[in-house]
Amino acid sequence: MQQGLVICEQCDAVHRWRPLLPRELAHCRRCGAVIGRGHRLGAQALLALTVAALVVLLIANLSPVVDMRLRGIHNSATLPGAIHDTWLQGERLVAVAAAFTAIVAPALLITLRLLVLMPLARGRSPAHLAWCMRVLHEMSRWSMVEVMMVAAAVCIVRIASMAQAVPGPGMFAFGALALLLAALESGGLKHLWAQQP
Amino acid sequence: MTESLYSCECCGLVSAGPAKVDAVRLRCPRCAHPLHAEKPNSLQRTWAWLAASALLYIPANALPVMTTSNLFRQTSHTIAGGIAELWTSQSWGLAVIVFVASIAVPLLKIGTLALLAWSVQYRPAWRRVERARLYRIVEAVGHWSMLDVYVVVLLAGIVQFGRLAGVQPEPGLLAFAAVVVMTMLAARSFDPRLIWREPADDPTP
Repeated sequence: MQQGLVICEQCDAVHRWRPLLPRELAHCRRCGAVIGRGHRLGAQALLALTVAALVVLLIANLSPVVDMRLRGIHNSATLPGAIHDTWLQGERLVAVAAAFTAIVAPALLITLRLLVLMPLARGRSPAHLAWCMRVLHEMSRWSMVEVMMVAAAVCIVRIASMAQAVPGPGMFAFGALALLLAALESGGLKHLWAQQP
Repeated sequence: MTESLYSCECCGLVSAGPAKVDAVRLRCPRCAHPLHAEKPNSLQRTWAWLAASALLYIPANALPVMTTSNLFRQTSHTIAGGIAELWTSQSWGLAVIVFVASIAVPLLKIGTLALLAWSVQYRPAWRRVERARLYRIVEAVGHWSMLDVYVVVLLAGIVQFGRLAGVQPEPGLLAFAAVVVMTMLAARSFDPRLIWREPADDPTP
């Protein structure tokens, strides 16, 4: 094993590693890719953010995203409900794709982080750390929560031409979830490998 | 046997291993993620996904993605039709956002990835830093094309008023979602390290 080296993922340039200050960004000298960030948040702070993200995820999926009123009839939809309806209306693969990218991937990101961070915050070694980190690495590219929030806004505008539509708590929860997941991403995970007891 | 340095894309650990790996599957000593000197069959896979996305791009835009119904009639909407509706109902900003996300981004992704894949073979030394930057932009922006898919899914769930109003998703939506997923997979299978290869490095592209 080589300590003290970092290899750029995008161009293979080898760099010598030095500890980074919080908020410092390291860029590859050859191609400009980000190859390291300063450690900003420890296990406990990350855990707090992750628990917050879990709560927000539940709100986002259990509360209505949009409320609609047409001729006195009131209708609202949660995201799982809308996906279920899409399934029932015949577009099953689309329902699966939407469910995976908007619910499953973020839920996995949060649950796996909890599984890793809870023992670490207490100073113990997490079980199955390697597997969790590998799945986390893969899931981070498939979570599209911020797109869902904008989609809800577009929906409201599309409906507004024929009926009244207002955002539901679910929509704001998706926005908050997007922010929290972004904070977790930038909070980083790789430095936790070094914190393992 | 000469040794090479490998960097794990999951945990960042740099470890030493044999330079040429044929039968041996290398894994990171810390997190067991597979180690590759470069992504296997990168150009072939990238071209395959790009061809599939380009093919599906046609039905994705030609076929309607949803049908709205009210008391009097049913109207089918394509992606472009939805954008036109936003524009005529004076939501200029959203029309531009949806146009960019659903029409411009997938086209630009396919075009850019095709350019990158082609340039690796035919213009290996051309503007490397810029090409690397292009790849990063493509990877970062790609998932926004799911916007329209989510919009139709949400509309299908909300607009359920029996015969008064209804929204039915249509097969064009599946083609469109497939284009988005396939362009993401194409970006994922492209190995940006190929941009930096010198022709003398190794004979296999």
